[in-house]
Amino acid sequence: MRPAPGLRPASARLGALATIAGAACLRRARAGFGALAMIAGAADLFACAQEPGPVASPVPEAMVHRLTAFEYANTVRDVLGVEAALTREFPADPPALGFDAVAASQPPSSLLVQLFQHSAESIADATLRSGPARAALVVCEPDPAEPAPCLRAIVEPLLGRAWRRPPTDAELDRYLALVDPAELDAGLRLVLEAALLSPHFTFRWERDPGGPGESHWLDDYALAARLSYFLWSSAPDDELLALAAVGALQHAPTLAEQVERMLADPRSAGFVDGFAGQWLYFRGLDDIFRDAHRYPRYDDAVRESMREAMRRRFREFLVPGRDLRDLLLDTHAHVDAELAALYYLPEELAIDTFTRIDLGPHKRRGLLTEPGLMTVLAYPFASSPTRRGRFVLEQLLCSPLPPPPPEAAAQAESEASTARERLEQHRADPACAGCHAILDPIGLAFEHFDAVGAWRGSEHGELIDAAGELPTGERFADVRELAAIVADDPRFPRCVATKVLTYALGRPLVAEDEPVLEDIYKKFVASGRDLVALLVAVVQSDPFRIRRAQEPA
Amino acid sequence: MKSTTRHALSRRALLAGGAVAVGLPFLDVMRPSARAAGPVRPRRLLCYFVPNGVRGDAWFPAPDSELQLSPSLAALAPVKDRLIVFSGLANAPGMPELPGSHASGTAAFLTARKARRSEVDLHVGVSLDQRFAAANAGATPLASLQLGCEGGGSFGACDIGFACAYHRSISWSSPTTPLPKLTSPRLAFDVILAGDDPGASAAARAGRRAARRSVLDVVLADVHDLESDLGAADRVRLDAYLDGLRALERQVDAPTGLGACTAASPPGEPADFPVHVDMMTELMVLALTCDRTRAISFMLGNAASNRAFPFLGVEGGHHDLSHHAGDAAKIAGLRRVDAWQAAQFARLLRRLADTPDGDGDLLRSTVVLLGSDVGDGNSHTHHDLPVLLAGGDDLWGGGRHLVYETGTPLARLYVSILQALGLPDTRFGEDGDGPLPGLRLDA
Repeated sequence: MRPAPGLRPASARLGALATIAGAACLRRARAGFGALAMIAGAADLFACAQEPGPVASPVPEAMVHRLTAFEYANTVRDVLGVEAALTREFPADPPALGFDAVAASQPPSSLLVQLFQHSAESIADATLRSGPARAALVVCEPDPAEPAPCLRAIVEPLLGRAWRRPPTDAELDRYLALVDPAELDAGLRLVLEAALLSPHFTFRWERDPGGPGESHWLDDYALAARLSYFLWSSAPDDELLALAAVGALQHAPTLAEQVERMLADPRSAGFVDGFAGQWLYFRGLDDIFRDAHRYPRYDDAVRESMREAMRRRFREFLVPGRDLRDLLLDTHAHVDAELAALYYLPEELAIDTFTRIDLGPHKRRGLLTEPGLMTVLAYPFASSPTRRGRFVLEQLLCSPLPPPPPEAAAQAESEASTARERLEQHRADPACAGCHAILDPIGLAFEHFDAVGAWRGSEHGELIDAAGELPTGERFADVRELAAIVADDPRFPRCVATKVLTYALGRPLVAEDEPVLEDIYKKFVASGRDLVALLVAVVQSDPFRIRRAQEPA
Repeated sequence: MKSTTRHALSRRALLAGGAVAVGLPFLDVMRPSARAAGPVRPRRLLCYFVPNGVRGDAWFPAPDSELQLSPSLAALAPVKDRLIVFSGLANAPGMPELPGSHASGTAAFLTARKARRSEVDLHVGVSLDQRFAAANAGATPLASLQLGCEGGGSFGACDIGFACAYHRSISWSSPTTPLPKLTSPRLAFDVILAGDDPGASAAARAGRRAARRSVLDVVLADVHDLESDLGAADRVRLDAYLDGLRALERQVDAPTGLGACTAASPPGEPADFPVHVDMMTELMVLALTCDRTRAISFMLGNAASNRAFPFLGVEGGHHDLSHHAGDAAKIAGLRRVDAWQAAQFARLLRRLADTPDGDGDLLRSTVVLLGSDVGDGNSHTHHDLPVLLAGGDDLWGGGRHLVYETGTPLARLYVSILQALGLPDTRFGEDGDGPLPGLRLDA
């Protein structure tokens, strides 16, 4: 790696005297992050001396990431304390590889830039109109005789937080020039609009100090942003920025501490909705329509409760020491008054707040019988064994089936009354039999759950048989036994590691990532499938901390 | 339909339905006939996508050259003499080698090119509307506008191996750039008016423009700072962002004024799907009336849309219905959906026909194309596609049914359209190697 003056002085001189490294780290602490930078600065000597080696391992090239609409809204909330209301109406970022953050590496459209402008104006207005938001921003009243220090005290931290790094002097001057001290709010409105429309806000740029193709350690501010968008879907907070300011973030134990701290923070809701919402599909409940006559229990309130129940189930694994197999095996569920009817609970249990119920008497178990999941994986008017089977294979085991043959589009008419009979007829076609022999036993295990996840004993008067046998010969009586088989399948933890690493990096995994994935998977299994350990292994991995310099433009 | 009486009636009908109208101004009640002799300028293009193909037996007209509207197209009777229905057109590039017909067919709808099967490495071609928009760059505040009625959730996969973008965009400004569409009527209204508040005074609007200019100067300086030290891949993304900023600059520096749009008022939240479609229809008319853009694409639904139509008494999601497997109830439901979609399209055409433009009406100056990703939704065919053409009456008349040999490239129609719009193009997509014979009255 080529030394990069001003960017990573410490790592460029590993092995130099600790005092020199420490001094170099201290120089990087910027006034913009004042008090917190000083707190972190106390530990900087140690931190900087512990930085990783000077030569970074080769990693695949990564593209700059634009903020998704979800990340944009969270960032505005955390940086300015106002709601970015318009983002709810932004065009949805269509997912790639199942994640919107992967798709956000595509070039932006002009429409999106216009929406960013429109949104920036609306947010600037909301910030200056909101008492608390304005108070947090306007930390001093400019002295008419000498307004510059106060204006700087307002604008510098704003740009630093919004851009996830301190502004340069030139940038600061450019933004300060927008403010006429005599009309403070009018000027701040322009500063806010520009700061939010700036590509420094709408993208997460990562600079390349080295030559093309060379890999280098990420600068700490870029690493702070990778961490915060991974675990919060939002901007780094003052603590992360302060650690970045003293160059302490690359320290592996610091990364581990930060992961635990960040997961305990309410902003980890960004990981729950951003990662699990897409991995386990509950974010998609928004778009799920159900026929009101056939499913009178289903409405917007139930849908929201379904989503919240799934969030709560997943969130239990954001503390150390849980085995992620229990996501599938847990014998409790989170239920509120809206969901109570779907569980046929006695009315006295139907209280407004969420409560944990024991699934013992319910013939249900864990994630796989969540009403929200059963709903997303169904048709408007019927259950879908095919979708449910595909979910298990694709999302939990990462073993997608090959695409169906072209003639599968036109299905033959069927008089069968149950899904099992219909699929048996379907399997009679040799072109379909191969895949459906794998898919159907899994999908049919869910048949006791209708299109909104309520339990049923029969379909069209015929008793439902949820038992099955996998191609491996493993037999199960119902979905509870299937859940145990899936939980113990070695493909499950490997699949979770694959999904998490893809989401963390925001790009497809390539052959070069294979050893890293293997290492992360082993650590995950060795930890007893502790999700927190997996997240730590991911952020400590080379592709998360290292970047390959792009080919020149 | 060109009598003053009919015209007044339709206006009254619109005003009576004011709950969904976006408050379009009517500048000129006494307008000349739609086919007045003067030159048609400027011309516009509006491309309208319906998902899942159609049930052909009730959709395609009898094989006469004079148009006899089929049951599914009955609602188009008021504009029948300004409409051409095509039979026999195919979009062969829309056919994937493996399944994924809805993604590849939708991506090929306006591009006539084969979509690359990839989740991240998107590639298809420049779409018809964007070819036209590029030729008109700078003429209007918005180069083009993409609207739709279905956003699509941010979860899951869309079509085996194809990124969801192929399902949700029909407009591609470059082979690798799908253009997202707006589904929020309120946001679309703001975009059409470029954030100008029609209720504000001229001075207030000028002040806003000056503020935007200052903001853009600073942001462009930020872009300039970044430019020098980005690698090639990131530079492409910054350049795309810069293109968007330049478009904002044009809106600030060359304000066209809101013109006829000053009387428009913003729409609210759509209560249901039919109201949503009505609002988007009015917004398309608004954008064209005020000359905010000359190229619009609209997706009534995304590829493989599984929207339900309870208000039609139809049971089942659209995509599920389209794979009817011969079920008579599902086929009947499909026909009802097809007829309802045609009625929405008819409403748009009537609104364009009712809107004066120059010495004619807006329909005369707008080439309106309707199509789908597949022909028959049950078997995913990419031939015998449903294709309607309206407007541009001076070029090719109306009330016609043009029957081509099965397999005739749809892309040839696109060559004809581009030429009608004044472009020199002689080829389009993979198989559009010339204009469609027999379409133009003068050719």
